[in-house]
Amino acid sequence: MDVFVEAMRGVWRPPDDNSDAPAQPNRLSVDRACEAGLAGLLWRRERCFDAANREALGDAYRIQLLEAGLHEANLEHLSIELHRQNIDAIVCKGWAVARLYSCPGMRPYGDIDLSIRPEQFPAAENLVQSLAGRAGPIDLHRGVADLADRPSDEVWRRSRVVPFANTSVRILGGEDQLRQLCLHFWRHLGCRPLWLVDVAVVVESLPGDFDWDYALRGAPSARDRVLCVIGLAQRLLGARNPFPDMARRADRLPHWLIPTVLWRWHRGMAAAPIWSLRSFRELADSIRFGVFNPLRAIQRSTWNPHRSLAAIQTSQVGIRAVEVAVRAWRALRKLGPQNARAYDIHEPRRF
Amino acid sequence: MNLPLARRDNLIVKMLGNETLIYDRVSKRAHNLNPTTALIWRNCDGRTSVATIAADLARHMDAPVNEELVEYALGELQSAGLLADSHVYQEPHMTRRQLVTKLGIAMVAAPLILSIKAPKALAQASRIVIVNNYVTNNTTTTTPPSTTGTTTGTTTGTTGTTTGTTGTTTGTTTMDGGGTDAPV
Repeated sequence: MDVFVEAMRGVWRPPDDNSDAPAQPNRLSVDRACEAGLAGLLWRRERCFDAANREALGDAYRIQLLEAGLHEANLEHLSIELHRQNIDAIVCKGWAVARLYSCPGMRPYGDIDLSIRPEQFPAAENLVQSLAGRAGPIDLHRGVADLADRPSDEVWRRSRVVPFANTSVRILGGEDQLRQLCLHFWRHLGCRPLWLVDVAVVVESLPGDFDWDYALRGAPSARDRVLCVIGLAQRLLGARNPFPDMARRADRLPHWLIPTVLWRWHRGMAAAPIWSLRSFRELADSIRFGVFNPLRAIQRSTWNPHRSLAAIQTSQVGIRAVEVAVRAWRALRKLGPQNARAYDIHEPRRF
Repeated sequence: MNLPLARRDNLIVKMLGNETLIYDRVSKRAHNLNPTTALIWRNCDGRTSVATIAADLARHMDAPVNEELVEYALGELQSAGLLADSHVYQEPHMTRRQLVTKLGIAMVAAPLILSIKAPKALAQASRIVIVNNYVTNNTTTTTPPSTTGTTTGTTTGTTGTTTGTTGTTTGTTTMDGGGTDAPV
């Protein structure tokens, strides 16, 4: 069994649920576990039988626990300011998903992702600027990221207000949350294993009245991607879908999907330079799953993921050639990335 | 009469089993207090004397407690920036092992504040700054370097339930339950 899959199966469940616990010691390195966002999860579930790794992962969990506290303090401060200025924001991913995990601090936090109604975006931008980083790093989204095919009024109508600390926070409705997590995972080419764990957590917490029609409504390509990611969580991580019909439907995965995602996880966040690859097999995989990544091809097209891999990757040849040329041209002109700001503004992707 | 007062503002406090984890938002340092130090810190409410704190600690430990032990812990807490009162406590002038020997207490009961060690991959990504070499252990006490931005690398230290060593940490950390918010 793949080392990631072995470590991650059922890892989000409470400590007393050992149904998917691996029979042998975890083989994932500490650094790779931290990079993948799994350190706290592995330590909390006692999936680190090596004493040295157990200590390191334990400290990683302690850091995550404190970061969770810091994130929550920042979110509380931000929520109070948003309420004060009557800005209706939806908190996406991050805390909205971490609250579903069985123990605090299991899921590491990053930025606070806020979705803002377009008409309120300038006011939100001014507010975040006035905070000057006092509420931590904030990602502002005009509309809701990955849900641009949904009427925003519908998304806001279905959103939920939940109590949080001394205030309240608005989060996405269950259907939109699952859809967003799946599409976000795919958009980033499945690069972070933790995001698939998020999908598994949400799938296992689906209520009996979950509206699958709404969750899958929209562009067929988006629907297929959502189902594929749910199927990945079921197949790779052992997520238990409480809806048997949907579980069977999601279980139908393109044959290339699992190898592509696993290759990405093993590669890690930073791309190894091509001259460091040590075998023809590694080079071939790097080209097959990296340069001509089928998830990227599907993301950019409206294609069905179940098309043949050859057709998908052939379509990538021309696109990648143009990309490489543009990057080379920019490098020659010394065009670099903008300086990082205290917050980032993302335009929603459109299908 | 000296009435120690703990800092409460700009601190993130989390419990993990019998450990008290504190992140100082001002100094951006993370600390791990063992049960003895945590109990002393929580009793520093500006109304309780050192003698009373020692008596309370004795009740919890079910053993006599010398005020010198409390003074030692207060010195460590002040060095860590976790006290708010203006009284200047003497920096610990002996190691934990010397304290244990002098007072005849178990090593596990001696006050201990650790900096939390983060694996390199996490330290590089974390917003919590881990201060190198700020640790009180059996043989060395070093003053914290000034921190600018994020530091990488690791600190050394020991957990509260092990005998202290420099270099790599030893011993195990047991999980008694999930991390919870600690009353401050």
